[in-house]
Order: sequence, then C-alpha cells, then structure tokens
Amino acid sequence: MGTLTFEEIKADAIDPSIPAIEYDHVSKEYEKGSGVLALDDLTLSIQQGEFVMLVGSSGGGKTTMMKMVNGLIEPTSGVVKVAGHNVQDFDLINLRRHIGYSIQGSVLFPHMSVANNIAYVMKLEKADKAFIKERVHTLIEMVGLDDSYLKKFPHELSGGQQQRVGIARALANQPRLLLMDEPFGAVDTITRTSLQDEILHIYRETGVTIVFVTHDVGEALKLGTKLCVLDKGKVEQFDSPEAVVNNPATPYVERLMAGHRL
Amino acid sequence: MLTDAVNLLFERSDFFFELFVQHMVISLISIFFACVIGLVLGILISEKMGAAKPTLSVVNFLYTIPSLALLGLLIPFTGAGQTTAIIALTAYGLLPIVKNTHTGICNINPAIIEAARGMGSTRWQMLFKIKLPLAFPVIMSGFRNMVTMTISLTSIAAYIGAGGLGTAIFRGISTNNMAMVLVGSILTALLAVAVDLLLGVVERRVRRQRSERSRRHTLIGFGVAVLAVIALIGGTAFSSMQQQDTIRVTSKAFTEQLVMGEILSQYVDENTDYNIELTSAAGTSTIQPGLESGEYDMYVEYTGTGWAEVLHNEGVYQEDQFEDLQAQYNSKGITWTSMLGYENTYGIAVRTDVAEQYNLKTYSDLAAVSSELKFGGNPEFLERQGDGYSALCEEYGMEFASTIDLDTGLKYNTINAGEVDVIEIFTTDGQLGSADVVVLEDDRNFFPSYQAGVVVRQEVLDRHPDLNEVLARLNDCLDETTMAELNNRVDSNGEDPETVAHDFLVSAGLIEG
Ligand SMILES: Nc1ncnc2c1ncn2[C@@H]1O[C@H](COP(=O)(O)OP(=O)(O)O)[C@@H](O)[C@H]1O
Ligand SMILES: [Mg+2]
Repeated sequence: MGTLTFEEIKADAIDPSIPAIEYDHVSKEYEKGSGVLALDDLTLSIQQGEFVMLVGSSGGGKTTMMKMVNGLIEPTSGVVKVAGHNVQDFDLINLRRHIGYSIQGSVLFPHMSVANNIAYVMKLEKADKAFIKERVHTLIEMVGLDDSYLKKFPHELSGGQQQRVGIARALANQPRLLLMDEPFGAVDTITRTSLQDEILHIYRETGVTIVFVTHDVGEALKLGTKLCVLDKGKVEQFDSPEAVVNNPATPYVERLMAGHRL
Repeated sequence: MLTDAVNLLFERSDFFFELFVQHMVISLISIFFACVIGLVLGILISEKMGAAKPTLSVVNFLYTIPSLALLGLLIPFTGAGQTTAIIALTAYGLLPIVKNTHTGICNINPAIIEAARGMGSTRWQMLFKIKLPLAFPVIMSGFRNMVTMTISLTSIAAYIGAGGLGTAIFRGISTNNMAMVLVGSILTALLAVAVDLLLGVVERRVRRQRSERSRRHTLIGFGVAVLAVIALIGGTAFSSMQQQDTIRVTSKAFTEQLVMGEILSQYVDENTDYNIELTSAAGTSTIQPGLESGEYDMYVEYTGTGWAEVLHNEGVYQEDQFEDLQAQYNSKGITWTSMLGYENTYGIAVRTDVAEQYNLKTYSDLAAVSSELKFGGNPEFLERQGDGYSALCEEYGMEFASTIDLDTGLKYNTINAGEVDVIEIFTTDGQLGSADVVVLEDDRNFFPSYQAGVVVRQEVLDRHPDLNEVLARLNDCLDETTMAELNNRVDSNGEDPETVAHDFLVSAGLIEG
C-alpha cells in the first residue's frame, strides 16, 4: 500500500483526457500455481463519465474486476490505475473513501439508523456535523425518500427502500467514481425498474463514472453507455450497447444477447 | 432453621456486611480482569484465525480444572489469599468472554464486513463501529454467564483465606452451624441474581436505545459506575492491606482453630496498638506458604504437625525434640513464641455399641476387627504422610472395609447416625464429651505429641519487638479440658467463636471485660 491520497490527484480525477479506470494486462490467480485465472490478461480503459455495465455468467470475473478498483483485491500481475495512478500507490483507506461502493443487495449496517448508515463515510472522515446533517437530507431526497426515514433502522424498511439507502450511502462523500456490484438484489420487477430509473437520474445529474455489475442483460442494455461482456476471465466484447446487440463479437456474446433488443 | 438464619444475619450484620463487601471486591476485580483479557484475546483470535483453535483449547482447559485443584496449584506460586483467588477466578471467567467474543465476531454477515472495508474503514474503525457493536448481544450473554458464575465461585476463595461470603459457609460447616451456612449461601445467591437482573436491565436499555450516541452513553455510564465501585472498594481494601502496622492473624478452618484465631487476634488487639486482620484458611498446607511469603503473620500450630508437615521430618515427634523443631523453624524465618499449655492430639473413637460388640479397648483390638468396620476421617488425616491414616494402618495392621472423607464438623453426627463405625478425633473435640463413642488407647504410641503454640513470622517480631513480651504471656493459658469446653460451646451450643474467645480472655484476665 502506498501513501498517495485522493486529494493529491484531484486534478487528474476531473481531467477528461485521463481515463477514470485503466486495466493493463491484469490477471488474477486466486490459488497460486493452480493455473485457474479469475481474470486473464485484461486490458481496457473506462473513460470519465461513462456508465459501464459488467455482464456475463456467474463466475466470469465481474466482481474480481470491480474490486481491483478500490484495492479490495490485488492483481496477481498487471496494473490497475485510477485517474492515471496505480491503485497500489494509493493509501487504500483514503482511496476507498472517495470511491462510492455498494455491494450485492446493498447491505446496510443493521445496528445503525438510516441517517448513520448514510453518514458512515462522512463520519469516518470526521466531517462537520452541520455539513453531515445537510448532506444526509440532500441524499435521502435524491434517492426518492424523505427525512421521516432517517431515524428508522434497516429492518424497518422494505427491500427497495434499503437499496435506495444503500445508493445514498455510496454517494455520501461525493465520489467521482461509483462501483455497484449487483446492487438491486432480490427485489420485485416494479421496484427494480424504479431503482434503475433512480440511478439513471442520479447518473445524469451528477456526471459520476459508474461501474455496475449485473447478470441481467436487460438491465445492462437499459442503463449502460458501454457494456463489458466477461466470460471465464476474458473480455469478450467492450463496446456500446448498440454494437454489442447488433454485432456480437463472439458466439458467447451472441448467445447472451439472443432475444434482447435495445 | 430459617428464623435462626434471619436472627443470625441481624445479630451479626457487621460481620456479614464485611464478608459481602469482600465478596464484591474479589468478584468485581476478577470480572474486570476476565473481561479485559477475555475481550482482547477474543478480538485477537477473530482477527488472526489460526490462533483461535489453540487459544480456545487453552481457556477451555482452564475452565475444566476443578476450582479447589486450581487454587491448590496456584498456592506455591502466588501464596494463599486474595491474589490467588483473583487469578483463579479470572482464569475461569476467560472462557465465556473469549468464546462469545470470537463467536459474536465470526458470525457477522461477511457482506457487512466487506461493505465496511470497501467504504474505507480502518481496522480500528471496523472493530469499534461494526464488529463489536454487532457482536455485542453475544458478548453480553457470555458476560452475564461469567458474572453469575464468578460471584458463585468466589465462595471458594474462603478456602484459601481470601474472605468473602464463602467464609461464612466454610465456618458454618466447620462449626456445625447450619444457620451460618444458610446465610452465607443465600447472600451469595442473592448477590448473583441481583447483579444478573441489573445486567439484564442494562442490556435491554442498550438494545432499545435507537441512537448510537445514547447507547454509548448508557454503556459508558454503566462502565464508569462499575469502575468507580471497584476503585472505591478496591482502594480501601488495598490501603488497609498496605498498612504497615497491621498484624495478620490466621487459623485453620475447624472450630478450635477458629476459636484460637479469635483468642489470638482479640488478645493482641487489646494489648497493643496494632490493627488486626483475622482470616481463616483451609489448613497447614495453605497457611505455611502464606506465612513464608508474608501474607500471614501468625497463627496457632501444633508441634507434631509442624514437625511432619511443615518440616517434613521422619519419625514420631516427641516434646524432647522441641529445640530441634524451633531451630528448623527459625531457619525458615519463623518462631514458636509461646506454648499454650494444651495438647490436641489425634485419637481413634468407635461407636459405643461397636466397642461393646467386639470388646474394643486398644488400637490393637480394633486392628483385629477392622475389616468389618467403616472409617471416617478428615481429608487432611487421610492424606497426610508420617502420622496419617496409611501410617496408622501400617503400624497396627489395620485394614478397614471402607474410608469416607468427613469434614471435622460433621464427624460426630455421621458416627452417631451409624454411617461410619470408627472416626478419627481430636482430644479437645467439644462434642467428644456428649457423643456416644469410646476413645481407644494408642497402645503402641503411634501418634506424636501435638502441643499447641503460637507461630510467628520473625520479621514481624523484629519490626514490633513488644510482641515478644505480649505473646509470652499466653504461655500455659489453657489446658485440654478448658479447650474442649470452649469448642463445645461453639459446636453444641451454637455460640460463635468470637464471643467464646472473648469470654475466655476476660475470665483468664488476659483482657479487660
Ligand atoms: N476469494 C476467492 N478465492 C478463490 N477463488 C475466488 C475468490 N473469489 C472469486 N473466486 C473465483 O474466481 C472466479 C471469478 O469470480 P467472481 O469475480 O466473483 O465472478 P462473478 O462476479 O462474475 O460471478 C470464480 O471462479 C470464483 O470461484
Ligand atoms: Mg459477483
């Protein structure tokens, strides 16, 4: 782990000529010497402001690819860069606080109120109290809820409401980059649709770069400005939704896209 | 029985209050250490998975050592008294805390940990903001178990002279005073239940409180209150322990010794300016290490016991060997200052009907029919080398049908009830006069001489030279008949040793009435 802080590279993080994320010949072998690669020589760049959907069958390496961005997983070989700097050069604690992160099902902290869940990173950062209060208020409305929810505890919310709070929590520290790993877990179709609309709305409003994992092709086509199709640790295709649907690069992509339209 | 107990509680409320406070101090300090060490261990092994198994095996092993055995094992290293009791109780308290902390942390949904890590929590923040709060209910249930267990187990501390409510229980058993046993037991149980209820209330409040802040305030408030109580009680206890001018008198845990402990402490108290602290401990084997380590200053011992059990000499002690005894004691930094004038030797008694049936007069007569009879003796006698049970059997060729461990206070009841036929007695036993038994003749002079005398740490005599003269006045102040009478007042009349000792000292002109 390095000592580079996000504050030091702030200028790079908003410079549109520098990719938000770059993978340079990245491989991951969880069990050393097994020869089984979760990621196999991955090279690609994600530009700032893109909404990239990682799709593919389960076990394809989507989560592995995403967790390398905030240093939860270290590549076995190759380099992952955020805003032009090697992730391993960052003070990872600092980096993570500036990257929004929401994982499968958006698990909230069950012992904290909604307000404290949303304020979690700001509190880690020891932000000013009045500022936190104001920001929590803004965020809860941004995700389509209101202040009456702030005092509630996670178990008092419906599944959909919990995921909204999960999104608010990920956005709390005004990140330039948002990582979402199947955030809309087990919710019904209607709730899912409204959550999708919410995240699209937030994306358009804030201009944040989003990397979003899903195994739902419909969701990927609806939300993404780009799709990254992964299978067995290899990128099958990385292109716009139109290109992926209309010109599948490999038989795997073709099978995956069968029956889907924009 | 219950009214006896209530009366006793009110009559001697000061005595019980003091035991109660001691009990709280020992329990709270042990609970405090078990918590701190247990939490740290529990957290460490949940962070470093490889360490979990061996650590849990060790604390589990500690937990399974019988309490008396653990105390016995510790005495050679840490002496008798509160320190040892606290170490043992802390060791027992570790398991529930370590195990529940570990379980509580390991059972947290890994996705929650992952989310907290991905959001940039440091290790400490993860521990204090996520892991410990989520593991709290599990830790708390372990804590409550541990607290009740420790409070009950603290009764055992009396066995090594650490005080607490167990003192009442042990004393009650030794002096055949069931009301005393009852009060000691009930107070212990009440204390445990009350503390458990209190913890239940705290736990429920913490869970109900919605904001983290007020939850933390309740916990901090409770913690501060407990620490304040420990500091206050512990502070006073410690400062009184530290007092230079305190003389620590102790005794073994049977009636005569309890009376002698009182006689010695009241006498020195009245005739000097020193503070006196009186405790009682299980027996010579627990007192001697304490005497050598400076935990105790003086007590009444018997020459024959000292010869065999403290000095580990071979052969039957007789009084013409006293100079040798004194010299060997001096080399351990201990002096026999005064001989009290009575002998409390061992004897063998059989129930009258058995004696008549077999026409028993001497130990040799008894040996001939021993295979038909059941023998009861106190554990010390049954175990002791030199002049204990096995040596006796060897000398006379006895072979009893069975042996039973009997507490000194219970042996006359047991033989009168017909559960045993032969018992080991002391020549000054108070109940001897009224019991339906015949004392046999030691026709081969097997038992050594057991003159009672005061044994004092030399350092104490050097520091307070006036004690020499004061203690010398106790020479020949008693004889066997008087001693047996004093014992009988406690054993049969249910008077307490303190009063009996006081009456004796006044009538002997040793203190003013
Ligand atoms: N911590 C780990 N240890 C060993 N193997 C892992 C670990 N995490 C993931 N894998 C393996 O790596 C591969 C890719 O997993 P993952 O990135 O979770 O895929 P996806 O998110 O696309 O379902 C899978 O075969 C999975 O079993
Ligand atoms: Mg995954």
